[in-house]
Amino acid sequence: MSSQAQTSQNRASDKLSGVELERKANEVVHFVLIWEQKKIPIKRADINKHVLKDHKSSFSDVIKVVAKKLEKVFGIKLVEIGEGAKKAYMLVNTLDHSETSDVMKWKDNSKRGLLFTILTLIFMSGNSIMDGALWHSLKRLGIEKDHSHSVFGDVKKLITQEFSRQMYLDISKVPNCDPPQYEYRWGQRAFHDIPKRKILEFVTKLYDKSDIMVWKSQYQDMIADEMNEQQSG
Amino acid sequence: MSKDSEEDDDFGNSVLDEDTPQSEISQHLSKTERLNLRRSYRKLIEETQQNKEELIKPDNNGLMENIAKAQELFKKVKGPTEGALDSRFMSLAVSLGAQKTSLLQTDLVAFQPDEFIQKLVTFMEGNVTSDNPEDVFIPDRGWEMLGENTTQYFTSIVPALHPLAGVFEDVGQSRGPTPSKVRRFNEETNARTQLPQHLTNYRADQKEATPEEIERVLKIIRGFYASDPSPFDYFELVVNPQSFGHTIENIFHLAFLVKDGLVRVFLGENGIPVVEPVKDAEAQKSKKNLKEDDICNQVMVSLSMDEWEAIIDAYQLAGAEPSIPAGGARASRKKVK
Repeated sequence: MSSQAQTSQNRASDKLSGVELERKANEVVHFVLIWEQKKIPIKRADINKHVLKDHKSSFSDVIKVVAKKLEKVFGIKLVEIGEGAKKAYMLVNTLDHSETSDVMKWKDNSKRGLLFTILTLIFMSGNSIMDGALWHSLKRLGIEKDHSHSVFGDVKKLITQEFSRQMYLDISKVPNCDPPQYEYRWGQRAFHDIPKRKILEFVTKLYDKSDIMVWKSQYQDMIADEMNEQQSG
Repeated sequence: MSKDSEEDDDFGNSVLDEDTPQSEISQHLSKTERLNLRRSYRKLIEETQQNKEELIKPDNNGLMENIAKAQELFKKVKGPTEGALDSRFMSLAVSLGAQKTSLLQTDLVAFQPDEFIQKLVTFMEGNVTSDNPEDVFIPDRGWEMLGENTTQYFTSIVPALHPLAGVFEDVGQSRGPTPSKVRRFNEETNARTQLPQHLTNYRADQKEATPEEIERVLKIIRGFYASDPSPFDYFELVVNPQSFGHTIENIFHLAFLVKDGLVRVFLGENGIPVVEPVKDAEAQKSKKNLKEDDICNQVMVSLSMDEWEAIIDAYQLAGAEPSIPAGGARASRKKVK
């Protein structure tokens, strides 16, 4: 193995292999774990700039090792999103943490509460909601688009920029609309992080209903989603 | 409609003619009866059509009642024309029934954002403070609580890294040392190189302290002599029973005094050295003598630790206060011994 590694090293000096590859992969693992705290997808360019530097050509080799390490050591799946130049990565937990969640201290609980509210509104309203309807609903929760909030500060920025950049929300402009209107949908991370079943469970609990099946269309949507996931997974 | 009824009538008549040959009266009677029956059916259909918006509402039983009416009418149906009318009504009732069912279902699952929001407000222990639903009060803690409760639903969220010793504070961007910082740093290093100089000064200070000590000892000797103007025992004066070091220091200071001709040390009557201060006039004189006669006033005393202890025993000084109290900070240090 070592002789093989050496010959390949000789062949292309900027290509990583063997111990070096391993070392760089470890650095990338460390890097993505920390980057994930921001919840913003990690771009290939970020990894190249901060870790690989002169070894950009080895990216595809390194990322394979990284994905394997994340999965085996941390139970985290490296998910590729976007295409071409916009290709980026994010981390998705594959382990059940329902039992350990009591022990874990999560940051930004309030923000997550707001995010959950918005995602629920979108899903329950048929997977999309217009910005007018969203802000109307939020106003009844004491959140106003153009006013600073005592907990969230600049709410508009939080929702339209942070949640959107974190890929929790997908905000698109509705064509041929004056004044402009925006449509809010679930972003890619939302699909990965929160099962629709959980949303239904929460809403059912909130409404004090007995079964999630009372939400017929949403339930069907959820089943369809779960089927898709099973097929692709 | 009128054309329809005509056709119906013709059709009915022809059927009647063939199938039921009856008497004129009975024929007439049944004809009136059938006419009434058709009229009832048409009325029922018309009513159902007109009221369909009402009838399809989930909590409206009108449709069931109308079907029951039709059922009653159907008992009298004998001819196909009436049968056809019954079918027409039934098909209408079925289509309305279907609409009603779908409405019923949407009603059950219909998600009303306002209702949801209202329930969320309650969940977060907030409340609407007036008739206007936008006058809402939600405690700051409410959002935190909602987050805590919903975090469990984020099943695939990646847990945060938890450094055992806490996280670094966000100190903002570091821009590298600014010129003023560099200057300050240089000043600091300069200050540090000056430190040894301070130390030399300090040592010089220590040296200067010796004359002060000598002065102090002289005062003490003069004090003794003032209260009892006779030469007093040398060892009793210098020995500090608590500190050998201080004893040596006293001998050292006394030697200076002797050298300067301020104190005289000589052997007393019983061969024990005694000390006596020189009077100012004599001191002047002796200084002069010093110069003229080149007389060197020197006293040399050697004292070992053993001898010091022996003297303490002999003079029974153990536990006694020293004649020359140790002065300043150095005293306390030595007293420990």
